[in-house]
Amino acid sequence: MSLKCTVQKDDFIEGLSVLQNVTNKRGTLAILSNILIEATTNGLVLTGTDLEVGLQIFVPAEVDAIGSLTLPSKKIYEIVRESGSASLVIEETENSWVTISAGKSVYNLAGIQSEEYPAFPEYDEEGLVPLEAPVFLDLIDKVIFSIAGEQENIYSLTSVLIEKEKIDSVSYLRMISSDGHRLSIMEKDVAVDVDHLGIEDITLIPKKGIQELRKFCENRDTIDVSFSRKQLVVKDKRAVMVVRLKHGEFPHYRAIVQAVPMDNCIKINRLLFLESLKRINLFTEDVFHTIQLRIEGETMVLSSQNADIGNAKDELKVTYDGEPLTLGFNCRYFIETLQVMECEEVEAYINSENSPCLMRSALDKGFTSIIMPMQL
Amino acid sequence: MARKIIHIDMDAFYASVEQLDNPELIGKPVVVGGRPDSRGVVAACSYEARVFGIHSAMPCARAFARCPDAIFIVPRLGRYREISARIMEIFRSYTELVEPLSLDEAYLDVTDNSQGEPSATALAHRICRQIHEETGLTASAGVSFNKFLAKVASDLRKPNGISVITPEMAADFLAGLPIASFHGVGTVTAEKMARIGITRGADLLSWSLPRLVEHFGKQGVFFYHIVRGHDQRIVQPQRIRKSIGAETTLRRDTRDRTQIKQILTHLAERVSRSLCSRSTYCQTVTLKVRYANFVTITRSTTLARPLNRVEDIIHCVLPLLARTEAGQKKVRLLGIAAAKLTTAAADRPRQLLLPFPAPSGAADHCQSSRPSH
Repeated sequence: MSLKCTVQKDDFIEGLSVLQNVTNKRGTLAILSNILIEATTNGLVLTGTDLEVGLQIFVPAEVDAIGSLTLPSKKIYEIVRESGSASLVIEETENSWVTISAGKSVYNLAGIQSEEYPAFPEYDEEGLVPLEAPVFLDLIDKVIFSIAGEQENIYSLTSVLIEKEKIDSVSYLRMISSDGHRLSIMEKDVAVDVDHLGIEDITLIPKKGIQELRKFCENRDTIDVSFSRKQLVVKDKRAVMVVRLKHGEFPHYRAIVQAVPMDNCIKINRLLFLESLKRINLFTEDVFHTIQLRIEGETMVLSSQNADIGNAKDELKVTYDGEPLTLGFNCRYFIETLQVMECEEVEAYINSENSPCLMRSALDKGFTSIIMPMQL
Repeated sequence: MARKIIHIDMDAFYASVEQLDNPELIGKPVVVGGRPDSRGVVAACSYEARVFGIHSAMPCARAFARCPDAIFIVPRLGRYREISARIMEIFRSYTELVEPLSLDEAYLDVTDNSQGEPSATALAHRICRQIHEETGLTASAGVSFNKFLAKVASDLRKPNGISVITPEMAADFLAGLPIASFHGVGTVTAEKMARIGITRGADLLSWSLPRLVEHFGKQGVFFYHIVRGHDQRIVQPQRIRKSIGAETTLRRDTRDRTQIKQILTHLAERVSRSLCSRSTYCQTVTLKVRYANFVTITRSTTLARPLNRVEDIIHCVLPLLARTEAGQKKVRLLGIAAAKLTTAAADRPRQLLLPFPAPSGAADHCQSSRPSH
């Protein structure tokens, strides 16, 4: 049977635009740059996948004839975006060609038959449990910036580690990321009983999956979630996303947290520190963004130099009564951590120029950041 | 047009070099790697040692248990590198497209070759013969139309043998090939495949693309193609630059030291730009001067710290200039070369790593003759 339907531009464009993130990637199967369009009695189901992340969007439509086919993701998106009409009519002609009519405009577009499209991963509706999207989003936001790049040799660091824990019948979810130079940990209590989440042994969410999950959680209140060994499913009435999970070894991050002595504390106004770092970063060298921090008594002096530009110096008041310290750091690491924190005053624990620096605050409940210094 | 790819793999390379340098070892089981009482592993072993079931990556203690009479030798990587360089040199005399995989292994794309020889098989014979003549070592070669098949082929008639897989033979060959021999199929994937009934190429061939993708993700796409003999990966020569230089012949011979210094500043800028664009630093700076009578001299200095900035290069070059007769004699050509290139500059700040505890069960590793790719 040949597909035929009428769809509102606004509904269609919204679905197509979120699918652009998972389609249109170079190098993989040609069909993966297409989206699958299935016309059902309830409307349209749009599917895109890069085999790591699969996304299905439900779009209301008047369906005259059910059917399915695939169309080039970018082209159909552009057609709809440029369309001057409030609604579009899509009609399959033959050999997977479609005629799209939008007001006076008519397009004939070549598709590929839907049989060649990879099957959308199956999942168990029963296993889905409700979770507050903002909570999941907050977990992601606090760790997403310190995931390792693809060239990292500890492979598991290119993913986020997710853990569940139950303490005194309160359920917690925890995400951990590290690029080998720094480590971010975020833990939150959740309303759902984590016993219902199939997070077993070491569960890793690859970076691409985390990025897409982040977008999925934005502008949503409640989502349904399920974890199985193979995949993570997030869903609401409008969309389903399936993210492939990985398993393996993740470095023993707790050992590092435990190893930081918590006796030498510097208290710093977070926003003033952040602003100062951004100024000093104007004069750092590319790649390493090296800055020097000199802390003596109640004063922290920040400085940087760049062989081609010049140098910069700034000064901040801090609360500190330990031995004077001269530390080197990648300025960007501090900026990224301080940006996701919310407190007024951050507590930094560090003993020497070669030891890890741990940051947290009472207001940033559940969050821990550890940054390794640079040897100047 | 089909490509012509040769994969050449030296036979028991480290062990053979040891036997070459010490003829007393010939005919005896030789194990290169850690000491028998250490936790090190076997990096390479002679064919005499393989008879006892010793193979590379095996713990040395186990190798010792299998053959207590084996002669254990600590690797001399410097010597292996030296011979490897000669072998790679031979490869490059046949084609520019040489991709070394390790010291003892390389892919050669001989579709176009310096000999104008249409038969890759004839070339493979010639190359192996030349390696034997020049180094006394033997190699095995695989000849085919893509990297994967060439590599599999080189293993078929080891040692000292050459195998050819032509496009006509490929389908039958792949169908019969055990799944573990496929590129990208490690122990884990092989087990997974066995569970779903894939043990040979023929089994893999019967699987559709969507089903493979469903089971193996992106890797499935690769398996789908490779079992059909499709492997488009090109032979990528990775010439490691040994030095970066700039030189210029003066428009007119000169004795003017101010002008000479100006020209050297200009050359230093070029060298510095070249180094910076590659994010490399040099540890040796060489000044080259050709006098009007065409006599050429060089003066070098080696530095404690790698550098790449213009000022630093000039700072090195001027004292070198003082050690020449430039000015007393007329100068015709000037050049600056930066060598001993390194990507890590000692004077750069170094980012420290998080002290993650080592995963349990880690053993000390010897340099393996065949690192995994």
